[in-house]
Amino acid sequence: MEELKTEIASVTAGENRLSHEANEETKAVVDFRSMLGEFQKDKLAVVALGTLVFLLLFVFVGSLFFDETQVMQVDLLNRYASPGGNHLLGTDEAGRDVLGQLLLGARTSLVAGTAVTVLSGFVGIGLGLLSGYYGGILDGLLMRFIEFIMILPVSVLVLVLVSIVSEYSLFTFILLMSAFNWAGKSKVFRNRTRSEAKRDYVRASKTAGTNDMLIMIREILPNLSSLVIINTTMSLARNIGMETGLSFLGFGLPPAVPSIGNLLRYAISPTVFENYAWVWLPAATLIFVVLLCIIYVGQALRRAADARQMQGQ
Amino acid sequence: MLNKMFVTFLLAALLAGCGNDEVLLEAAGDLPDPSAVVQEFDTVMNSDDPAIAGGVLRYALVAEFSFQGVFNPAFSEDAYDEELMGFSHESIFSYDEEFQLTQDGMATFVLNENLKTISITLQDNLKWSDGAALTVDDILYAYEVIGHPDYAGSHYGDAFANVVGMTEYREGAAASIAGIEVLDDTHLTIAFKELNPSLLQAGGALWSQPLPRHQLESIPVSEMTRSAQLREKPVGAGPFRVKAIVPGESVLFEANEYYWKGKPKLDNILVEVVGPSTIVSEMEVGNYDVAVMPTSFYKAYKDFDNITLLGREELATAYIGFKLGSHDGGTGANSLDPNSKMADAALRQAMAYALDNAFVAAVIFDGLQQPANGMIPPVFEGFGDDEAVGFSYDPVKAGELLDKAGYLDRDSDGFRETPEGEPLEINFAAVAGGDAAEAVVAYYIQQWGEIGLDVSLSTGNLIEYQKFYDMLASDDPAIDVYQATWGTGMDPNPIEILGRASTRNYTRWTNEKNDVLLGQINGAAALDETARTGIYQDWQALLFEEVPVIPTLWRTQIFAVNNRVKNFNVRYGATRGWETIELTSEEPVR
Amino acid sequence: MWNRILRRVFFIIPQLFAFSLLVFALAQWMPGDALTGSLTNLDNPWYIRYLQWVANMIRGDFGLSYTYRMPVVVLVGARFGNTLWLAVASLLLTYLIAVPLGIYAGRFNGSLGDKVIRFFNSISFALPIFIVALLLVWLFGFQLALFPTRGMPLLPESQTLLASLLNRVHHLALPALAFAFSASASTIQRLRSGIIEAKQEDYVLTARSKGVPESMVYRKHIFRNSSLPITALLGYDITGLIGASIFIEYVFAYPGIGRLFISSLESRDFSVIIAVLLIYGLAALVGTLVSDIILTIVDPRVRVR
Repeated sequence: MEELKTEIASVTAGENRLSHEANEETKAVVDFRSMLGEFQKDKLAVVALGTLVFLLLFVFVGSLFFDETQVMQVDLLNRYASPGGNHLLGTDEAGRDVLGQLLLGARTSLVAGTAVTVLSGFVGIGLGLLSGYYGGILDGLLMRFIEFIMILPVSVLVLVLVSIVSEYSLFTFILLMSAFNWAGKSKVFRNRTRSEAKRDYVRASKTAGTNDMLIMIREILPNLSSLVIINTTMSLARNIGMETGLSFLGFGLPPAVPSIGNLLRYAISPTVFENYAWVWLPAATLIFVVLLCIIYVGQALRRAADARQMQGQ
Repeated sequence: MLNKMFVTFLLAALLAGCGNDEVLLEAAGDLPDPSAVVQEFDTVMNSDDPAIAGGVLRYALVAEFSFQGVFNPAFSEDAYDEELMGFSHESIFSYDEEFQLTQDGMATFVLNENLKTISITLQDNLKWSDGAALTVDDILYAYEVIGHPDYAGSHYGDAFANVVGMTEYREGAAASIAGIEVLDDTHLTIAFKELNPSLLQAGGALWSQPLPRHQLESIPVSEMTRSAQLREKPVGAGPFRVKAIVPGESVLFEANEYYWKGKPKLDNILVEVVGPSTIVSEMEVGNYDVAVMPTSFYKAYKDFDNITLLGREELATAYIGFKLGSHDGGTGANSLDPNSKMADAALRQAMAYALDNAFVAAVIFDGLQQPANGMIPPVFEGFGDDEAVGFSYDPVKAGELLDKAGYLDRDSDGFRETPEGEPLEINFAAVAGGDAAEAVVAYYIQQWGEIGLDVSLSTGNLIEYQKFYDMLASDDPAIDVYQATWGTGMDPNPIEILGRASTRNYTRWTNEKNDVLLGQINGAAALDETARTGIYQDWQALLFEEVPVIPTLWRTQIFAVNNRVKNFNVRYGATRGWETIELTSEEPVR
Repeated sequence: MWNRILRRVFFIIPQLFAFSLLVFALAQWMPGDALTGSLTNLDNPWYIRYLQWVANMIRGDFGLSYTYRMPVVVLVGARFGNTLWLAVASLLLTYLIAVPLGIYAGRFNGSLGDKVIRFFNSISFALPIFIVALLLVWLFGFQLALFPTRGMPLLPESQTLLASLLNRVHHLALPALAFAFSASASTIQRLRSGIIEAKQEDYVLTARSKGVPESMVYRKHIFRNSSLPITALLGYDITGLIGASIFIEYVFAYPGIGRLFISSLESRDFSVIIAVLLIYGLAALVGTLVSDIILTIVDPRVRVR
């Protein structure tokens, strides 16, 4: 019941709107390395991690074999060609190679998802640390501000931003997606930092006169490392999912650029869904497996951290 | 002449009882052969099964996005609204398969060539869908509204100005239109300054949609488009009446018992907006009774056994237009900008020769579309020019034209610069959701790339229908070249699409010889058919030289009709319409 | 307690105010005048414009839709009911699925059934909701033709109330199922952890040692303690519901607010976009309010700000 109550309390505090983020909270902090050790015992998670690495290699190495201009070459005579021969995964409506689009698109999605995670991670964790450590008016203001950003789902806000900025590059797109993403993270880390900041070792360092920044980075942060890992992992899955979703709705990258979302859009037409499944099915499967692996790894990490914590490490 | 797309779709709603079956010809050979005969389709569908009483017909309005919902022929701007009005609004005149007005409608007419007048006689006891009397006063009212100084819609043009006394009324100098004389409830005479052959053309220069004065007169003209009367409870003279609307999504029509041909057999027609990507499967499962199908998926649905395919030539030409100037909202005139990016005719010609539309038509559309060699669709015999050469695929020639005009690739980046040495980036806009739109657009851009032109999509993506036409109408600088469709309606008169004073001339192209020829088309010179053909041919030749537009494709319109529908006929000029449709079962056949 | 609740209810007013400021700020970036739907009127200083906007809204004037050229209020009003139906049906179905499964998984944790449930949970986390929706539409809508594939049709008057209700349920089935498939995972997980924890609580062990039958232990103690918080968290799930509804309405062409949102984004109809943002924000704030109130009633130890 305790966990549930903690969760309620934290949710009431407006921390976690997204339900699975709530499950990332661990009651205390755990050493990163010992967590990894625990992780290794979870065979399914190791398999997931292995698969993930394999898929990443497949995408990144595979995409080197394809040149974007060539992949997006329109070849009307070969429209909706079934897999085989020149096109291992067939072609789409305009005769463009699906495998090439899949690999290049997946690479873009992964890069974008990672970039957004890293960017919002830095901002979120950074602001959270600062806010939790110093407290005061700025902390109060920031938390209020975050509260209002978090009223609306991130995807809605990103959609609005994308519609305002009509033409954008991949870089701008990443910025837009990160624009509101950091808020939830900020809150989580701010709360953690606050409780850490009350602990003895921090007070000791403060009394010893250590620089605040050093305290935050060298002492508090490592203690939050398990949280960082888990939070980042789940965040990565969410961001990749969000990018795919935006692309699917038509608010991602332009149709001339290979992307997973564009391939998935083909599934909207039941005729294509059924008769030309090679266009959308590989993309859906790839994204699904990648996300599944990331989520498994993240859940396993959390379980590992919990296990460690219960062992009193 | 006031050919709007609405007339095209008004036609979609007309049917006949007995029709002539046309032979179904197969396109020759397995590989798509561009020169093969365009497939022909039946236009009538009959069923011997007994009809049920009443019933609800489910009509799919195939559109990627939504309709605007302005249920009024004077104010609607949207092709989909016009398709919807085919159920609820009707012209007072009937017409035949050559789109000439005939005397079988709600009104008869007499043209007096000497006096340059048309006398209209309405039938007695006509009623609007709300039961109020429909009289010639409502016809007069239509002219008064469209000619009104506050009228901001797009139907006021040369055709209206041609009515005696209209210009004075439009400027506010006169309180009424001198040239329109109401003799009594059923007799009206309109006097014209010039006799325009389009006057006798359906959907032409003679405005034939009355407006309900009793419903609208209390609303200032400037606010009419927004009024609830137009949007929620429109009043029309068609076989059905709007019962409920979800804006942009669906409309429920109910039978209009006041309809002049008698109460329709169906109880209701339910119209829903269905995306082109799902309509094929929707028809297969039997969710809808009638839909206009995307031709690029023909192979997927041609063998469905629960539907019958009917087809006819579409009253439209797909074309690529160039933004060549601007439009002055105040004076209403277009003006050519000699410095616009696309101002050089050689550049435009080269872009025309770079495209192989025969190939596109054969490969993407299975021969159900054909390359256009002019702007007038071949369904209008005697207007188009069968012998015209038109543009064909000749990339070598395109390259030569560009070289000669000074568009060279001096910095070897693969793209040509302007003669002045500036980089040339062309922005191309197209509507999202069109039949195989993405593939066609990608192909065009690639072909232009092959001749060294750097073309990219305006806003980076295909553009939503309403936004697209807004951008065109407001001459948004983000568009240099665009792909659109000219819905000719039943009158191929091109003054609206390329006239100097037309708001719908999105190219903003003006040309003196064009003015002369259009004047002839709209004047007494064209009253003689042979002369008219000659004028149109000259006009097509001018277009071929000046290239304000590149005609690309003529299309076949394919209707999928569920087998439970009786009496469906899409032949142009049919005299019986939606009121005769019946159903043979409670639910569509699956 | 009622004092606290009342305070919480009134707190929504400054919340709305702050949220509207946020939306107002966003609107400044939009071309034209998103707040009235016109393209003019940018002369007054911002606070005047803000006040004017709020005053208009109180009167029910949310501006004009640029695309449809009709009042935004009418446009939204026609669809709001539909989305509400969808939301209710979705939540109902989610809890219908999640609660039994969550309890089972928690009660019999470690068993094969639990493992299977957890496996499906992971799948539903990883599978994007729109793919679930597309699969459901294709399978049940087109292949098996058991359910309608899209929309929510207007019906002729002749339909009886029962018939129209059945028709509505028929049309809601697949969309609600798509949502439930995606959203039940987190509820199942919560319930499961809650029950696992509760199983180890002292009072449960005491009851067991007293010889109280297992099912009664569950019913009286564990379930009751675990279920109420789930319901309370419902309000906080509104945000998730909003995001999901956009995708579901898109795939099912369901005429609700979500679909309107997407089409207004595509046509850059900014006054509609603003109105939808306000509705979503209001829904989220009200949801949070309801949940806070329930929690206050349920557990006085939980402090609500």
